[in-house]
Amino acid sequence: MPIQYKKNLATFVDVVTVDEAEPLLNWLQERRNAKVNLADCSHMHPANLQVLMASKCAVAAWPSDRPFSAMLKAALEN
Amino acid sequence: MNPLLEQFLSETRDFLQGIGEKLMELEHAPDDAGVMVELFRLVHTLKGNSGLFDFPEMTRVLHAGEDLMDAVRDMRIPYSQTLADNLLDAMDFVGALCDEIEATGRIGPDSTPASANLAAALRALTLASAQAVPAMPTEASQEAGSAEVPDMALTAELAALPETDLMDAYRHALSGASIHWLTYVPDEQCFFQGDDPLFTIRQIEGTVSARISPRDRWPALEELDAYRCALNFQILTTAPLATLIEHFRYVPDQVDIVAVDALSLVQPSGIVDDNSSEEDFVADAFKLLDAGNLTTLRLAAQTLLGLKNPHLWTSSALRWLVVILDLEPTDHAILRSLLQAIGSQSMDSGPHTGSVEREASARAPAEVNTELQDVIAAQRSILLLDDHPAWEKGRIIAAAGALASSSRAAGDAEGAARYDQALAQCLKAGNSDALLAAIPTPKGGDTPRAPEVTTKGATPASDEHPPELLDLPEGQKSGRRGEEPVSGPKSIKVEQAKIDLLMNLIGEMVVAKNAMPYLAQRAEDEFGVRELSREIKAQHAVINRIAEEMQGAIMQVRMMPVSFVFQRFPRLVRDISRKLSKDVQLLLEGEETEADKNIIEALADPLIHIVRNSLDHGIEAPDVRLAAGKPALGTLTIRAHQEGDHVVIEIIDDGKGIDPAIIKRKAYEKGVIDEVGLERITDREAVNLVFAAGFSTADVVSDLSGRGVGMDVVRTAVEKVNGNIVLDSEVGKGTRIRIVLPLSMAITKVMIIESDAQTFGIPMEHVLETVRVPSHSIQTIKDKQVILLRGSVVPLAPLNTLLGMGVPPRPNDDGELAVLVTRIAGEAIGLIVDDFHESIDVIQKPLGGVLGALSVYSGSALMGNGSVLMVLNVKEML
Repeated sequence: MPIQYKKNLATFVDVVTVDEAEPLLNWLQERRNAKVNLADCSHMHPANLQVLMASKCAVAAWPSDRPFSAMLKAALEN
Repeated sequence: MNPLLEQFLSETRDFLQGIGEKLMELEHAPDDAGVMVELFRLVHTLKGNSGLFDFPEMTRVLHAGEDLMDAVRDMRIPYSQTLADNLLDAMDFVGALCDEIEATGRIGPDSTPASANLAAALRALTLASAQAVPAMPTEASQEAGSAEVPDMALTAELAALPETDLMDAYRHALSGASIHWLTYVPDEQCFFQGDDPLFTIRQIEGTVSARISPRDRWPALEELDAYRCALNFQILTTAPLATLIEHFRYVPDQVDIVAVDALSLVQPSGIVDDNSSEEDFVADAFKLLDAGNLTTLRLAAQTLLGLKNPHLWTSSALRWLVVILDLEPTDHAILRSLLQAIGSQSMDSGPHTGSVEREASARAPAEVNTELQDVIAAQRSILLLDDHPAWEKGRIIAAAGALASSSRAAGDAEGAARYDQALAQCLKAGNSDALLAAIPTPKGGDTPRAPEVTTKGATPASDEHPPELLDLPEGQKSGRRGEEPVSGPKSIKVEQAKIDLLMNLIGEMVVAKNAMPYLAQRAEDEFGVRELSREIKAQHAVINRIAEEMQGAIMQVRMMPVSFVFQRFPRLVRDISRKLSKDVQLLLEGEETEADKNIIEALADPLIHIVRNSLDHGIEAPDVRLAAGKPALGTLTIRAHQEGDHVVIEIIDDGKGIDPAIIKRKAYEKGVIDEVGLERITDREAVNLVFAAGFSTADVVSDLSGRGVGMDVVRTAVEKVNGNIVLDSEVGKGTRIRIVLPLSMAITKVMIIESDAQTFGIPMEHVLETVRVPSHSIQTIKDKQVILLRGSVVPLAPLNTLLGMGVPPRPNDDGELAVLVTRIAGEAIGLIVDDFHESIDVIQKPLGGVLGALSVYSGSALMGNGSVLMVLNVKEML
């Protein structure tokens, strides 16, 4: 599973494909204080990204890839 | 190359040809809805096919063409020559792409810009008409938002980027890198097409800063559609423009790339604190700058920076100041504007746009006034249109809106209110009279012409069909392939090699079958079985009939209508005559006449050459024609018909013709004919000298209005397929070129002759007649033998001598010599042979290897008894 859900934390692993967006959206809809951990994420399909952006959920850890991390920070922190 | 692609290419060429033809038809009948629908269908299918392959360049152009044709078909755009020109250009481009794919298997990146340009040109045509649609912004609002806005928008967007990124980019820019700001707005449905825009963005190297932003405010999470792309991607990159274009070659319409210069990167950002004022610092700084004391200036800035909240706008500006002092201390202009900005606490639009704004505000009121008048005039002319389209109401609303807002912009609130009022009246009345009345009449202008008031009938209510009744209007597609009636293909495509093989096989069959009479003969003579001999002969007759029919059928397969060559002429004539500004109508006759594929193909180039010559040098310019008492419209007729075993093609123009006197003189000067020839030659023979080799040189062309250009090439090409070409011309009346070609090259009729106990074949087309002459009637002029044949002198040449056989011709028992009269280059020559035999159909094979160098033979053929017949090349022999 590219996304591992545990209580209120979703951990993104490696490449998160477009197919994950719908379950992620459902998962986020049910939780107000959800967090995501992107530390081990190497790429995510923008469908997932826009779900994260729309939900304004907190990011517990950013990806290790610097440019990718910067891109996500710019998108998610505003 | 895979078979699918191969088929696609061959089909595409057919489609392109079809599209070209339909466009030509439309040129003559622009209102023909049937042709229009057909044209749309062709473009539509072609686009669909191209989508199967990875050729975005091709698909894009075709898609734009399809949209354009769709609009034309629905009468939203009138058909025009410009439209045809654009479409033809686009189709030429697609044709070129096909060639490229065929040669290299792919489309090179060089085609991307051309493709985008063509597509844009087609789109522009599609949109040009849509301007009248109410949803579109009116001219006024479009004009208002031109020029300055992109610049300002760019600055605003750059300002939103992190300061460190901008400084990074600034450093890159100063070190010579080109900086581009790329905005990528992916299609909403792109996720369904397997696109990953984020991945695409991440693949770009040299990204300095990236921003991913939502297109609208995010909806509540419950209403969010995860699979509808709602993101915009923007990057600031050092990647070269070419790389970016290549990278986004699939979606060039979804990206916008702007080159960014170093200065526009200088964008301080942060919280503006109105209370703090840096006037002292700025005053000092200016002094330091004037004195050139940059070190102290830098130090002062650093110190102030240490005291300030780093999130303040001023701090950001100071940091920029430091960076610029480090990187480009000589650029005082930028330093000054930065200092000024710090003083005024506002650089909200950057150093560049500041100046633009000043320019804008400094525009003279008079100028603004004229522009306003232009807007009003434009709206007025829109309202005066009396075409009453379905969207007229929307058009009135749009015009009223434009008028009201331009009034407001000019500070005329009263006028704006007047327009709003008039709009309400218009909407009530259903016409634009009230609004027209509200527009002030321009000085000296004509009073607005009241459009005829026609009340439009209620828009046809959409008929609701019961679901089981699929009553689709004609020309409208049901949208599903499966619902279209299945019709089996009426023709199949076969590779030419396969047909050639069939042709060879039937050739062998004919030869093999010819052996049967010999067999019958042997059965009778050697074995004395007469019965068997008769049966063999009977069987031979049956096989012979079948073989002949088969041969005919296969020849039919190889036959092609001359329209294959003719179909390109409408376009050729259109293009050339437009280029030369001549009015020419092209008449094509007998396009269905058929001939062998090889012959038709061999004909293509010579015909184009002749047509081009006729247009260029034959048909005169309209004014010259009128002066000569001819209609301004020149006529070029290309006619094909069958005459026995031959196809005759005539190219007739009603131009100025060729003057034989000039030809004679030129031919003499060129040494093509001698003095005696000059005296003797008839006018008709003279004009045919243009086909002589060595006649087509540059200065002859200019004096002769070029009629001789490359005509010997034409003649050679025609003669290569055993054809014949003749030219007739009358000065001032026109020129007629007549080309006679055999129907097929595969089967040659030859006459068998015997000489020195050997048999040879002579192609029938060279045989004029055969006569037997008594030896004593041969006379000798000088040392040449001649005979007098029906009053004309025919020189004789013994075949034995020509072939180097040292035996004199053998007369028959009555002392007569067999003379075969042949015609070479218009002159009759008698070949003395020993005896004549029958004439037969043979399949000539060219001589190969060592024998290939023997030019006296045009080829060899296999006889029924297994012997080889050498076919003589009479022209080479004499």
